Amino acid sequence: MTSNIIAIRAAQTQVPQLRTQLRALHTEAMANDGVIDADEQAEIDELEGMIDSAQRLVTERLQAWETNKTAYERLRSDLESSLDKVASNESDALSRDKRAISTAAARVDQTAATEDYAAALVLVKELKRRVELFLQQAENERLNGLTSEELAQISLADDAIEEVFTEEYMQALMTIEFKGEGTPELKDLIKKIEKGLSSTNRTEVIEDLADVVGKPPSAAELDADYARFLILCKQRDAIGDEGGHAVPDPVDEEKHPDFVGSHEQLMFGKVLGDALGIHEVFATLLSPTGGLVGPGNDLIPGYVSSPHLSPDNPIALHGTVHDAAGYLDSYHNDGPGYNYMDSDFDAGLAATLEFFGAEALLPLTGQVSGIAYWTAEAGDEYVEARFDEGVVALEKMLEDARDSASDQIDEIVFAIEEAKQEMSDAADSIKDSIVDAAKVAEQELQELADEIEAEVLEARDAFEDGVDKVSRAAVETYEEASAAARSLGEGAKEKLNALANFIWN
Amino acid sequence: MTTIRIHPSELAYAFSYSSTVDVVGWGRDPFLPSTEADGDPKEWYANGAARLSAAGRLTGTSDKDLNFTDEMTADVLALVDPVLVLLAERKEGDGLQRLTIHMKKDTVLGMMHTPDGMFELTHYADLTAAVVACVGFLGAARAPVQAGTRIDSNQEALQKVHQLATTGQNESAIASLVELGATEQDAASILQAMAKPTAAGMLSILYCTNNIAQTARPYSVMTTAEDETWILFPPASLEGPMVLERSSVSALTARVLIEVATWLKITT
Repeated sequence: MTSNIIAIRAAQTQVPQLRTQLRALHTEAMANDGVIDADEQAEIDELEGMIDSAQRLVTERLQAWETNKTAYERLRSDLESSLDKVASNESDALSRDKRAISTAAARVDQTAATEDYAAALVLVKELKRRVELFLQQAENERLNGLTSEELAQISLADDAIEEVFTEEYMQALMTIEFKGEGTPELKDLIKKIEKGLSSTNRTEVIEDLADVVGKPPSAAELDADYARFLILCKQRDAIGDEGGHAVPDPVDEEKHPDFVGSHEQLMFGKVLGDALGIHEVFATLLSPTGGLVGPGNDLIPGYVSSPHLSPDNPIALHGTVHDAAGYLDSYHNDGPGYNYMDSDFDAGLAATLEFFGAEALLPLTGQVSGIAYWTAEAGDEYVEARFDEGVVALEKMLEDARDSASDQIDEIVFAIEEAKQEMSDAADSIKDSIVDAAKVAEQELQELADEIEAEVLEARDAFEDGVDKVSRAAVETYEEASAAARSLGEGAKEKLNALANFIWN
Repeated sequence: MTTIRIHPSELAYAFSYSSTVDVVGWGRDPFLPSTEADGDPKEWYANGAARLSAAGRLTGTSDKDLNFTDEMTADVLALVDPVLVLLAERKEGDGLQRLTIHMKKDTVLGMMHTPDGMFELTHYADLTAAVVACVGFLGAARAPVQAGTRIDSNQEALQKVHQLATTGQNESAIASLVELGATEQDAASILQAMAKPTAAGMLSILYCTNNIAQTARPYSVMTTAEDETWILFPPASLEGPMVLERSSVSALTARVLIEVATWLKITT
């Protein structure tokens, strides 16, 4: 049985027939002598089993059919505007593909008309790939007509770029594997592509590449990615030149003989490729040393043969993503900028703060959002003054929360001995009055006291350690320390300098 | 709370894998070899790797399964990609001493440079402990604030008071403070805090993305010989008001925690 609705409906009609048959069998068994003997019962059970099985199968198939139908209709609907774009394309070079897509679309619709959505889904997925490929080729054709200066003014980033620089994406990278990684075949093909493909070897190299890293992607899809790669190279060189960034160096194979085609290089390529909408193999070639993290690679020139850290180590992953973000910014005027890996205050921090009444701040959030919106609507000159007013008002509103937190911190840091004594007194009191229960109660109270003590001691010890650190800390000149300004944004630096004037001037 | 001592070459070696060389609050220089003593970068990294391996922070070999321990990995990520940094700078003569706190996920890591060139890394259980450590480092008063004094003014006016106080023009300084709303007793205490503090410094809350402090909330912290602490801070922009407030260990810790909590609620 297939998930085709005709077969499913046919099966559905069999179920009532089987039930009729079952009733007849039951009546016949009773008619003979008024009882159902063992053989008759076995026959009835067998038929009941068949009915249950048929019913279950019908239900499952019907669900599968409905799932396929929904998936098909969504995909088909999503394709509508893309098919319109294909239909309106007038490129001679793509006219054959355009006709093929038109035929394929008709076939999809014909299949769907028979309500065989399993088959229609397969066909519409294939159609989607063909349409996407067509549109990429058409876009490549358009971009090929632009000058370097024009390319430098536009974004070639993929729509998915926003998803690339997130914690979830980075987590997924940890377990990723690449077809062909570390093989001599892939290394050889990357080196051929790096040299540039001619009209004579392009088809052969791309087909070989599809054999190693595909399929999918198909050779045609890889070829379209290669065409986009060439356009991205043009943009890279134009924007890099404008910003004073040299064309990225090739990999020094004497220093890093295993890097080309390695997991580390493809990892970098994956991040960049997802951001720019091309296969990782081509993306690696935009910045061949990208992902080459570790001592000496670019921090200090001259350091040879660094070892490779396990590529799934979060530090190495961070380095790879950092490299990709830096490259996108420098050579494509694109990427996440300062918002990448957005601040991820975790639940642990939230819990700590809630202890001090941060929950009470919740209603203020909406108010501040309102202020932010209001000021955004106002003129530039007015914004800062209004925002200051809002923030100052908020700061004053938080006085009660601060006072409450302050009292608790006093308790934590300075009142521990008193608290311990109270606990101990309570334990003694119970022990004296209820002898049998005292041991248990004392134990429980002691455990509670230990628990509180551990939490409180941490803060108290941290305070004492902070005080003690003064005797152990190195003394630096103010000028030495101000080198740290390298990691401060302009606004942050200005504020720190203003406040420092009250201390060091 | 645990503290380890670590050589800068160990940190440099680990940072290199993150493609990051600057640490918020420290820059890059403390982690690079000096041109005189440890001039050869190759030696510097080799030394860092050897020290990390010897301490059990780096496992495997350069040929096989080289990896940092989970704790070292978390520490390095907190240092090179923090979401929050607390920078405590304590005035010492014309110079300063630094204690920084770096937060990422569950890691709350303190870092301090010691005179022998080593770094101390301290793991704190939570932000409260870390803030209290910074406030202790800056020498804030232990006694809680009984009657709070708060003077809302602006940068220009308070700079003028500071200038009068630090150039010995005590009467004028006190008169200016009284004009701003301080009692004579408080004005005398503020004068002492500005002119002759027994401990002074700054505590800056730095909100970071992409390893850059994008937003700063700094507090100047000054404590007198009578164990009275005064803090100065701009609650909004520098063009807005500037506040002078009586403070203490608990008051300043609470202020910092509530400030971070508010930021958390607004930005997430």
